Amino acid sequence: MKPVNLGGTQFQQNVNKTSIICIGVGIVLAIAGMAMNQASILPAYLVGAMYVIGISVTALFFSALQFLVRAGWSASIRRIPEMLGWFAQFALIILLPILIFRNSFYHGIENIPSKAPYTNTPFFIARVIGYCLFWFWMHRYIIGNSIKQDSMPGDYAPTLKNYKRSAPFVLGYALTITFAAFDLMMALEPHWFSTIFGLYYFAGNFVSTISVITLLFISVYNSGELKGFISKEHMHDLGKLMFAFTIFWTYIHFSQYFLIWYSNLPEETFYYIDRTKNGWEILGWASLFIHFIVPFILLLRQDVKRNFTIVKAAAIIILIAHFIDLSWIIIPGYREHGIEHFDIIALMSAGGMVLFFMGLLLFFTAKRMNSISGIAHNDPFLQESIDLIS
Amino acid sequence: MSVENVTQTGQGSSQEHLTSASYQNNPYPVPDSQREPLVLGNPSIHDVTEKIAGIIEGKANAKYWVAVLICASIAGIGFAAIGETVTTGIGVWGSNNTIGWAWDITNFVFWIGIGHAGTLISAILYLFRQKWRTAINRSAEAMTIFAVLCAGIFPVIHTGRPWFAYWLTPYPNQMQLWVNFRSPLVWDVFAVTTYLTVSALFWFIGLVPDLATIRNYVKGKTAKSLYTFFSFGWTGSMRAWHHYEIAYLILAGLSTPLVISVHTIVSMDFATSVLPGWHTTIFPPYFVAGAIFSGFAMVMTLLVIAREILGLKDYITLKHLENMNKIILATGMMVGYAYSMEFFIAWYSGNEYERTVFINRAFGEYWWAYWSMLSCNVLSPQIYWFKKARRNIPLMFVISIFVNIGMWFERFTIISTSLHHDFLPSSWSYYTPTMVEVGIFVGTIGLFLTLFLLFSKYLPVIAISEIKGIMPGSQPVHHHDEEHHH
Repeated sequence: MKPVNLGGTQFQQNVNKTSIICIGVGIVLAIAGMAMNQASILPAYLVGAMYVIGISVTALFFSALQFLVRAGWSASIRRIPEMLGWFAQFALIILLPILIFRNSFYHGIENIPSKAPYTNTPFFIARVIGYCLFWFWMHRYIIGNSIKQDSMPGDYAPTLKNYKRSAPFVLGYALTITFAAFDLMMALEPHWFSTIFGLYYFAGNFVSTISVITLLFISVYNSGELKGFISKEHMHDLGKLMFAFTIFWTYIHFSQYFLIWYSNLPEETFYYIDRTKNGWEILGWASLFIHFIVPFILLLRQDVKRNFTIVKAAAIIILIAHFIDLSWIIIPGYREHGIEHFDIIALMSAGGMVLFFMGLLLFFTAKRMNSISGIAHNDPFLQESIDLIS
Repeated sequence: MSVENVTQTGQGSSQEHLTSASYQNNPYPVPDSQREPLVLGNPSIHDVTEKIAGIIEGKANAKYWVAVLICASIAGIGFAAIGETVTTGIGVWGSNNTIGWAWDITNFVFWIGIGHAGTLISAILYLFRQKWRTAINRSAEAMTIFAVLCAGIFPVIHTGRPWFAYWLTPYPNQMQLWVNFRSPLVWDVFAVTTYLTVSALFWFIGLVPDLATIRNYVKGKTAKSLYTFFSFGWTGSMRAWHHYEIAYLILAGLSTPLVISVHTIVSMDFATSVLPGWHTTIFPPYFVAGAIFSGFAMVMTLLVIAREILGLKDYITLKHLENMNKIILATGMMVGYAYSMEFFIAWYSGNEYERTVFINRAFGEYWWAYWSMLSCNVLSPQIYWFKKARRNIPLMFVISIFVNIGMWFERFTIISTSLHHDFLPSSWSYYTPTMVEVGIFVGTIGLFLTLFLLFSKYLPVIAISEIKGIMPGSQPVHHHDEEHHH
């Protein structure tokens, strides 16, 4: 089977155009917001970084997961996450300012002697570099083998390698994303702790990644570039995953909130108290509403998962919700450093940074289309995927 | 039948709406190891009926009845121990002021957890279109129901006066007494009874077409009239199948949140408290993963034996067992993740009580329970990283027993270690079960096995209609070389 080159296609141009718009609008919003309220620089940067790193790394996980479970349905759409995952290699560059200005980003985390063996700066820097190197390696290995398969028709050695090694990579992903959540977000509240926090970050990332994949899928479907390979059936399956994992996110979020609320221990409750006063409750309610209720109602029925408009709307809403959710976690963490009350300017800066970084992600995704095939055209399960009935 | 053809059939692939301009068929077949046939020996549709219905129609040998007798006797021991508890009082148990519940709640959680695999296989794998579930879903669902029945015994007898157990349900009464709606124990009552009801319904709906097959097959008069009654006049018409499929899908959709809610609420029995070691936010998903883990181990224990004795090796193949072992490894890693998070965050929190409880868990008086849990649940499944191990039947039997033991110890560890060192050192205590308690637990194992044995003789152990549905030739398929008809 021949490769499909998406370079120079209408689809690539659309992605490019979107990326330029996102970058442009993002820069304007972020700079304007940061100029109006300088205290918003740090939280906005952190929101943007956590957003884009989460999605691009989880795209790698998505691909690895398909190999791990020998998924047949996804072979013809797997290149979408694999192109998104290219950006995960730049995680260290994005996190570099956070490593350099750690003390400004995370106030007081180092001043707790009982935690110092873990939270001291050298170990922190080593860990974060470790995560980034792992993600770099994961991309090289999993996506590398997937691409290698393109040039080896009939010889499944690269795919079989991925079958064999995807499990340890998924395990590594679970650990790195967990500790990244602890080190880069939970550390904003030096005294707070929650065992589910890593899973919480993962849940938001996973549903958002599926949403980005779905949006790109709809775009490439409409452009007709992958005609004969992809069908509405794939969107139906993506829709099911979106539906399932918005509920999963809600379940994880509920587990954390409810147990803390019910037990009412001051050493934990302050986290939610600070996020449900001074206007921050707006974000909490908004994330409940658009991260759960709206997508749930939108995607519940069977037939709507085959309706492009509704699935697209749900995907966009989930991506906005993920932004609101991360902002809710991160921005109030700076309440003692310039952002005391709910601050629409800070939200604007953060939104600008998210748009900017997502624009970069799309830009590199479009660029990637020049160098790799738009279809994993030698994948053993490609025919199965083409024949999919959802 | 080549592997390639089975692969094609397994997908149920007949697409008019999808015509690939440049791509017709994969010139390179899928690697053999990746899509193994789900039914071996190339049986015909009729052979399947003969095989499964034959188990019911055939006469059970003496060994079977001896096994039933032994299991029922063990169950009898349990009932005797329950009798002792009820007539004498809860004082015959080893619980004390500090450790107010230990054995009973451990066993309750243990049995409830066992049930979860059945629903995962029957509902969640159904929603994920996992066709390999068809050979094992029936027995796993039966197991769910039996396990939930065993689980239900413990909270009821722990009330001390089980004849008042109906007080657990809220109903209007002249004393204006209501259950405490804020207590997770009451949520348990709602969750578990709903779960039992829906699981039984789901199981029964799935049974109806098969019961009709049995109805047509058996010769005895009583048997025929019983199977006729319970197959509800199933005709197998297009219309009947249509309704059936819709009902099945809806029940699968309802069972999925239900099964998660059950173990979520069980976890909240502990996590809503303020006790170090109990109160931690990861408990709900951690308990759900653990429940599925333990349930799969139990399914494995039973099926390894059942496929041998009932001669079902062509239906419950090595492929099925391997898949189950992969799930055991995956869920085992999930509980391992949860153990590590608990331990790490207990340290990271800087909270003295948290740290002490976890160090005490690993190195205190109950160290043996903790390390049994860890080695059985986290270490033993690691062997499943190797394909050879995943397909080694004696080994998987042993590991499944280990996991059963480990998951029992997990609950015991969580419950006892967090309780026995109270905040007040003068009330520190130690718990050892009495013979009566051991008897009740052993009795539930006997009850569980008795019910399973009866099930495997009198009901179709494999979903006949579903297994036929995934066999080659049963779906509209374009074969690109030759036609296969049965």
